[in-house]
Amino acid sequence: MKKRLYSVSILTALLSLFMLSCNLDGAGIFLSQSQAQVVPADDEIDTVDRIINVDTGIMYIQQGLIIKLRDISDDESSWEEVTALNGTVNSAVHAGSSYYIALNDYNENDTTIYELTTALSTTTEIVDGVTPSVVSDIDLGSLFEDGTHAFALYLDGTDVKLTALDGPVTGTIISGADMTPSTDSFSLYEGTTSHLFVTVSDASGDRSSYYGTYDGTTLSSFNLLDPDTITGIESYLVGGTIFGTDFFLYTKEGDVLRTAVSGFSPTTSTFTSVLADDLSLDLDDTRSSGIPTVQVTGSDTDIYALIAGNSSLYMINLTDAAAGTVTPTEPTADAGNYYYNFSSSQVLDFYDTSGVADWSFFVSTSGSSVLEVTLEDAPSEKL
Amino acid sequence: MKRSVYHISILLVCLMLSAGSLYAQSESDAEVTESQGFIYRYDTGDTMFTFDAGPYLPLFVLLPEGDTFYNAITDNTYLGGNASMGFEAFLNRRVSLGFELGYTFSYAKDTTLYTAVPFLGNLSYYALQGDIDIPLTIGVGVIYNSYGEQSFLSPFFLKPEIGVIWNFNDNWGLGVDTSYWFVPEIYTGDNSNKTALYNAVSAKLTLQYRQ
Repeated sequence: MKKRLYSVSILTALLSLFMLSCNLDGAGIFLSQSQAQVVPADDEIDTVDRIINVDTGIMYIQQGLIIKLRDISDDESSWEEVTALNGTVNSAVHAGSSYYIALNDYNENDTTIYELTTALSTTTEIVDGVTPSVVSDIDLGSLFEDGTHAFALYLDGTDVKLTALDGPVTGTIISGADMTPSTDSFSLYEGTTSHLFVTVSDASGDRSSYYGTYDGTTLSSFNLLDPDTITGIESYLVGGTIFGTDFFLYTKEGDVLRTAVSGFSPTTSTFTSVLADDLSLDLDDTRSSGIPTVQVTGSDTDIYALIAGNSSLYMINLTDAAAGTVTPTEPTADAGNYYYNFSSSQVLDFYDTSGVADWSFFVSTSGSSVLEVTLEDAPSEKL
Repeated sequence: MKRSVYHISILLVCLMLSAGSLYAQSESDAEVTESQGFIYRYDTGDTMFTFDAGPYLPLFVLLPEGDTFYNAITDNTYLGGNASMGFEAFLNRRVSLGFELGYTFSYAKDTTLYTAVPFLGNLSYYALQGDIDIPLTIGVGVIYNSYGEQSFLSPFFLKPEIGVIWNFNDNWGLGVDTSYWFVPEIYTGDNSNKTALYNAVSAKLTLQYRQ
């Protein structure tokens, strides 16, 4: 009897020790299993380059050289291709109430941008000479938008030009042999003005950012953001966001610079780095319309920017950054939270459905097509 | 991880020792007797070793704090496998008590590996015995779960089981059994939303040796 009690005591003690040594801090093993999804091989992933628009339950996306749409309010629906287009899709955006679709005429230097003011459908036809076109037969560098206005940056002879497509209004950014438009350009809309940060490459491949504005009628002249005179900019800008009264602009080197929107001037404004301790983000991969960024509200009620890095997602506290420096963090891929299902993928695009800093947005990634985020503490769901 | 392996090793050694002290082993006379129309193959003190292996299928989780209570996971996981070995001793002619140690694995659809090491005490009732045994078993124990980099020890785990064994000679039997796995993963406080009640099923080919 004594021997049995002794054995049972040892067993109980060892079991207790073992339990204490295990991870009891919330692994969520079975919850994680219940959310596991097939990870297709790289060559099987239909990655979505751009979430073009979501309108009355229909999502429009660009996948490579084609446009697809789907009724995302219907779980049983599938992606369908818009097939009756006069050429392959170079890129497509939605701004204001129009779709702007850039079609290659099977020649990369021969692109025409068509404007469609009605909703796209799988049978939408674009017919050359019939469908209204904004600019024709251009060498397109970038087609980008800020939600309100859309812009085409292209090469015309030796001129790098930009057209505000809803005007259309065209201006010349810079002229010169071997100057080429770059894909890093982006626009930030505030009040009634689009703030354009346009990137141009020179003969040696070095890129520079130019700044101009568009108010729906007038396109301003463009001025260089000169790395020689602006502290903080070493080469060019790759993206940004507006919070409060400030721009937060991302440099190619991964710094985040704060500067006031009101009265902004590339020659006289003051730029302040908001990242503490000379930290930097890994950002320099080219994306459409700048580095994808979406604003959310943290559990501390501060506003955060989620910024898509090359291999990581960064969080920056904009509320704190408006007045000082901050340390960027990477969200934890916790079982059951929004990030878990795409934490191992690169974010390719965000589409903010609400336009306010909540947790309601779509995200396309390198590891899946499109996921819908609804809450910070709820798993994102693949469409 | 090293610490966990160390603990498991010590645990197993102690369990083997204590099992030995709980039951006096007896030589089998393999005598089949009949009483009141029931055939008895086993007698008090008889002991058996069991070896099993077969497929393992996660079925569903219940999430008491989740957005949806019931989550089928057959689409989230692949068919896995499990193997175990056990020892049992008869308390009387129809009921045995024993223990079982196993290893279970399955891959989630994102290729994350789930493994589990269950250790449980089994109480078996032999509804039929003779050339064919039908043991009904209820197992209660602990199970150490690992999923990717995460781990969790479920201090309570339930596994009811039914088997059919053909005793092809005095010492050896061969058969099949199927088990239902109920594994709670319970958290409190901030992590209570991760509380899950896991349900799975396994089927095994069983080889049995009677001493």
